[in-house]
Amino acid sequence: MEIKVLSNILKANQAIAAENQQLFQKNQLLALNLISSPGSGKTSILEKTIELLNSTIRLGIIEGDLQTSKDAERINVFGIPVVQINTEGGCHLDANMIKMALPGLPLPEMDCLIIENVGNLVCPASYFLGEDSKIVVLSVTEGDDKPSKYPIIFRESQILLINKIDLLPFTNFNLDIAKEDALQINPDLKIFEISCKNGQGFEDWTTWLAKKVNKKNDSFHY
Amino acid sequence: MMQEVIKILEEQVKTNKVKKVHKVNLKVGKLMSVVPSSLIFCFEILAKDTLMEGATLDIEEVPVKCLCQDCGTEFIVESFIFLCPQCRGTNLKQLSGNEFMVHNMEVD
Repeated sequence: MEIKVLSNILKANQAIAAENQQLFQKNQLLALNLISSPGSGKTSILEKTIELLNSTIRLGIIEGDLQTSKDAERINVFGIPVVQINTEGGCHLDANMIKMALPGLPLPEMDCLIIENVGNLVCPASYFLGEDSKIVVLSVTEGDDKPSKYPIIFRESQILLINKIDLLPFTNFNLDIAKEDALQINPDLKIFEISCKNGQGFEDWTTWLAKKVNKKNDSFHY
Repeated sequence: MMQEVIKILEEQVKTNKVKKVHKVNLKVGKLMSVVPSSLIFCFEILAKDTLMEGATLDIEEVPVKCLCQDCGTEFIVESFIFLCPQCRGTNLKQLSGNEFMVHNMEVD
């Protein structure tokens, strides 16, 4: 006998992600899911972004790592709300981990939540956490072939930050090829070239982000 | 992921008073970063000592299909190049490729 099942395998995650999304909406905040391979500079990007936006936008951070609270300690210096999730070996954050972490953040007093996912370009692409946008980070030292090798995360993201752009003269990273490949996978991808070391590109990136946050907040004031 | 599959199958086994599961068919979109051989490996481990032990896990890969909203061409995306083969446009609507579902099962 045949049983038609037609059931989404990730439905449990999707349902919790929808709850998270509703909570973000209710609190009028923009939620972003920051994804990259380990060592591409996610936490440094957060530090620099917080430094530039802290006086105008009320940020909150969720840090995802396999072990340690090292990243949360780095963010804590700025005096903004931060929660550390340790996945104890898990290679991605899922919606339930975010749901459990949210009571640790003062959501009504925040304009923007940035979730730093576990360093991994594969699995985080498949797990919706309730965010408005995924941001993928690619650093120059990783090589220009990452978009073509890991296309799914570049397809699922709305923003690409190309980090460590100051190292371009010292590597064989071909910026045109990286951007071309990424745009072939996702023609709508918004790209920023940045350097946490010398601050290049951060004005553009943070101005754009601030606009996005304000737009999200404004959409509730009618 | 496979634990979620097993949960869904167990629900079905219970509601339909199944005695034995012979085959399970999954549909997996090409954009789901799922490796079929890993799924099969995990299924065999998790199905052990259950009514699913020994069942075949069949995984149908669903291609990424797009509709060009400029010229109306429907096409399958190869090598992750999201470009209309007819008019070279990028104003595309994705029709498939993100599936990840238990489609059906064959049981006694």
